[in-house]
Amino acid sequence: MGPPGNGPHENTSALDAELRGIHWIAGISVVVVVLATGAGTLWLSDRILARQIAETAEDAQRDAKAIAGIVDRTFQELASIPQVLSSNRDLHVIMDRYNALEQGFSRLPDEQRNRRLKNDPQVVRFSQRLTQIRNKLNYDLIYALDSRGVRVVSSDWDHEASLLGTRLDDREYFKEAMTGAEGHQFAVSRTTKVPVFFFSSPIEKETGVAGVVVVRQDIDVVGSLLAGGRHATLIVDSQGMVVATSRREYGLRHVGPMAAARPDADTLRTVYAQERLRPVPIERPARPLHEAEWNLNGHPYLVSKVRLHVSDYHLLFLSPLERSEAVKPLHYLIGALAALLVVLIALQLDRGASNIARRNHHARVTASLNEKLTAADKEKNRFLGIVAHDLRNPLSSMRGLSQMMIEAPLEPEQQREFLDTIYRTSDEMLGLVNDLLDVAVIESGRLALNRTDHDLVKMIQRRIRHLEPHARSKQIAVSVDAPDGQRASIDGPRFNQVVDNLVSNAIKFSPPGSVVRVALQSHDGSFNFSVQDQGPGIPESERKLLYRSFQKLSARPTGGEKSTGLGLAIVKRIVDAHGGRIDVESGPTGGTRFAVTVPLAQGGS
Amino acid sequence: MAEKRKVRVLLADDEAHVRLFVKAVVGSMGCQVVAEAADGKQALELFDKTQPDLVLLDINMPVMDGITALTELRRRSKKVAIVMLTSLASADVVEQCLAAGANYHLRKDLPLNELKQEIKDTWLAHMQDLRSGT
Repeated sequence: MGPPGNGPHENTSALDAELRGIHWIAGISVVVVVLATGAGTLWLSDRILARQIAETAEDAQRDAKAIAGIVDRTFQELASIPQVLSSNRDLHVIMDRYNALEQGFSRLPDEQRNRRLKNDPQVVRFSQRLTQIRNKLNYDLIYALDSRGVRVVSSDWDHEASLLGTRLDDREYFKEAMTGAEGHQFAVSRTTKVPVFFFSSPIEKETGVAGVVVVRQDIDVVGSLLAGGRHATLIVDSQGMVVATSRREYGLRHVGPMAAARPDADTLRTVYAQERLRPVPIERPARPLHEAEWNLNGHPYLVSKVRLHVSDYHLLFLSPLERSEAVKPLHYLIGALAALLVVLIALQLDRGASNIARRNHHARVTASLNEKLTAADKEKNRFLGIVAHDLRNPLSSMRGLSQMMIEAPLEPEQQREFLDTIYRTSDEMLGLVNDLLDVAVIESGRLALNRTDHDLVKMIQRRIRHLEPHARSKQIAVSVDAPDGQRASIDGPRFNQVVDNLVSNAIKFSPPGSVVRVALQSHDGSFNFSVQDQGPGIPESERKLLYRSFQKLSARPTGGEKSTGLGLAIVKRIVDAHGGRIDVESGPTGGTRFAVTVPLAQGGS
Repeated sequence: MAEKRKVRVLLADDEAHVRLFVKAVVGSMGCQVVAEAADGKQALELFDKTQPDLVLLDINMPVMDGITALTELRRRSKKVAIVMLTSLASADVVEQCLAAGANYHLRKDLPLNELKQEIKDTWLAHMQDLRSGT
């Protein structure tokens, strides 16, 4: 008949723990999957970009080759001019004549050589032809040197400073061509300070190299052929120097990390007319997606490298990569959406699992409640059966006895016996009904204590005075061992019930002529009220049934007294309500001691 | 039945008020209560001592319950009439009592005249049985 207990609360915390477990798993899964999605997105994005870049790189390589083809043709055309001229008969005649002059001519001062050459009609005629070729084909300068490096014909022969007759035997292109090979050289012109290409060709005769024909071309003519705009094209020589470019700002600068060599300070000054090495702002990116990826001025470019026909020259074609980088945010957005989807799925699964856990929990709680209700129902039926028995029996006796008194006159003595029985029986029934009401109040949880300050000793003695006639009728002595003036905050009428029940039980189950000892002690903020009898004792097996309603045990009252089986149940609940506890000691040889320990004040223990 | 000699009755019930009432009832019927027992064990002792004709036996008693006492009494005597006194007898318990040799069962809460009639009928039926030798 008790309340359902706190089982459902324990189950709730078990459910909470289970739900926490589910949320943890869901949370960790979300974190793991989101991290994996993030890493996967970055990786996949890079792979996609790398593939796009690889395609771009192929396109760029094709473009670079096309541009290199144009440059190669231009260089070939430049190289072909001296080749064609070197077999010119008129030039041969002029070369033969001046070569024949040998040391005498080459040792003359420059002005005398210049004057003599300008007065040579053959030189003038040929120089005029060179001028026409130069104008027609838009070259910078065409000239020829004799075998000692003296410029004997030149397309600019009639200029103020035509430099006709100057000695150029120290030039690389001259030295190279005098060995019988085609020569070429890049240099910053000493006269015009403009970077130029020289292409030379030997004038070969049976007797050996009779002289060298040279064409000089302004770098800009080559540079203008190179792709510009968003792209950058660089022609780089063996020293890693940019000799021609679509971007003038990179002219005569070093390509730095892309070059295998670098010019020494002397070469830098003499050939490139540079005081110091200025690198093109090019560097490897931190995380290149392609082997050809480089940063130029901080922007990513794909660099295609093509070897030119002119030995030691390379063409570098730089195409920008900005457009590829721009798709990354899109990739990240897709990745974020995928992660979001994962989170939503995880939330859904979490909710599903939580619902299942909750349903299972509720099923368990319902089953447990059902069990408790069934038990409570059984207890209630037992209770009703006992009440019916314990109330109906005496009632039917009382009815029968009174009916007999009504129907026929009785002897005065018998009438007295009948009335006495009816009185005692109805008195016992009243006690039973009172106890039942107490149990009903206590078990419905409506036991509200009204704690007030009481003198415990006076209280106990008052109750024992009421019980003394009962004890005297059985020749039982009740001794009280209690210090004077012990006070406690308790519910007086309720605690009276505790004293009444324990002491009257002791008297009830004690053999005649024995002693019931009542004692009161206090320590640690509690008082201890104990009742010791010399009755038969309570077997170990019956002790846990002691406080159950209507539980009559094997011991019988020694004076034929009635027992409702409710007294100890009521005592236990009143003591519990006071925050105390009840203990029982009983030896196998008999004698039982009930001890009630209760805090002196509310919340005092 | 009262002409020859009074029917001698043993009454066993743990409740004093029941004993007083039943004693008065059977007394008013001209029977003599020769012994009163408060439990089954006491009933067996008093049976041996008084050899009654009729035993009125309560079922719920301490020390030894009525059904145990019934079995024991039947073992000692086939002739004695035994009537079980019940208050809330279930069919099971009644069945058990009859199987153990009880002549009849009586509900203690019956009205007075019915109670008398039932005891009388049971006794007459018992006498009939004894005479016909069954």
